[in-house]
Amino acid sequence: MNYNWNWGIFLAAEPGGTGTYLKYLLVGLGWTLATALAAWVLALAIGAAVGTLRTTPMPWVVRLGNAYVEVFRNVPLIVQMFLWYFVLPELLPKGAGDWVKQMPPPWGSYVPAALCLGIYNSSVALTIGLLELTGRAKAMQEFSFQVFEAFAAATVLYLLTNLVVVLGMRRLVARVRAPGFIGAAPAAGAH
Amino acid sequence: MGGFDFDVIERSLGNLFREGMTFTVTLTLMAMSRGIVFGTLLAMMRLSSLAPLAWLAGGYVNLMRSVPLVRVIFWFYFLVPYIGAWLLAAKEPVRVGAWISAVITFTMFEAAYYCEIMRAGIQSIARGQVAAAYALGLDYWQTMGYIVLPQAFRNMLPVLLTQTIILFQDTSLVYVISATDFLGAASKVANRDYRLVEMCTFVAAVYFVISFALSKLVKRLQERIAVIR
Repeated sequence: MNYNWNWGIFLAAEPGGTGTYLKYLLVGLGWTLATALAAWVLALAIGAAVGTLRTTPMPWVVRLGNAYVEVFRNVPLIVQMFLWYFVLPELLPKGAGDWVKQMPPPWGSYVPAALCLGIYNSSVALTIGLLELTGRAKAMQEFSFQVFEAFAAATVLYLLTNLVVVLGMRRLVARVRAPGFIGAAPAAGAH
Repeated sequence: MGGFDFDVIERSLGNLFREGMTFTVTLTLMAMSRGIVFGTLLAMMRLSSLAPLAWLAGGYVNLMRSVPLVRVIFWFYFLVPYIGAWLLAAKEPVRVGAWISAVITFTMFEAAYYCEIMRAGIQSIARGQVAAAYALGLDYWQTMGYIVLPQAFRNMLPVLLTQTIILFQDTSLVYVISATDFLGAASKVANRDYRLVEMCTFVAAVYFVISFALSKLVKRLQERIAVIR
């Protein structure tokens, strides 16, 4: 293998003039978390509202709630992202559409992305040019040709974030597990 | 931009489905079949009493589940040529291309999710059945092959199929390595003819119709299975 490893690349200045590559990636992580957080709050609010609608006795409201869920579950996220980014501004009245299109970067990508997203998929936002973590790793790779260092760093940052979530979930699963099946711990600790 | 021009869809329909949708469907089916096989093996490893096996499979699954699919797609796209060069002891990175890279990526990635489904399936079988199988003198592979896995598979069939619908939608992410799947084909036409709005809407509609129909089918299947039990 003739790949030139250069881990020192993280301390080199990135061509945009904002500082080192490391800082560049960390800012990306910040955008990832900001998008995820905004999307999560929004998703929780809308989810609670729609979920409640689906339990009402009014059939047309239930049907509306069901339709909402089906539409969003059956279209790939990346396609939805394109819909929010490209199609929505065209469908709005001209003034509003232009306002959306002319939002200064990165807000022009951030708003559609946050609107469209749930927490796990925020890296898809790079396709509409939101420079979050994956987008910045890709940009760093293109500027510096250090493919593996860039993606390794981005992956590690992501892993650390998600590992916390996975470990938390595992503890939760262990606490609510029902005894008597292959999956349950042997009866010793049960109560 | 002027008015909308939906003729662009009709003009490119043949190309979109012949090239794009074929790519998407083939990738989905290949990743599903291989993913389920690898996933089942991983699930058996995770539940194994041999600690290193369980640890290895658990680590793999948690790793895959902690990294976004887009990142995994990039990783494999850039890594596979180097791994290939290393395996074949070649001097230059092997040219792999988006297709093979995508098949490998989705197989490896989905295997982790299918593993978790199969693990839940295996765990849904009463412990007594395994004890009974061992009491009858069956070994591990016989117990798994004849007793546990067939039931686990049937219990989990709706979930496995639902995961496959998700996989079908996720294959659109090969857009990021410029592969010509359904979305890729549509976006190429859209960029050529400046018809982003029409093409995006059309792509969304097609994905919706297919996924919605499939999920309805899975629901019916689920009801039928529930009756049999």
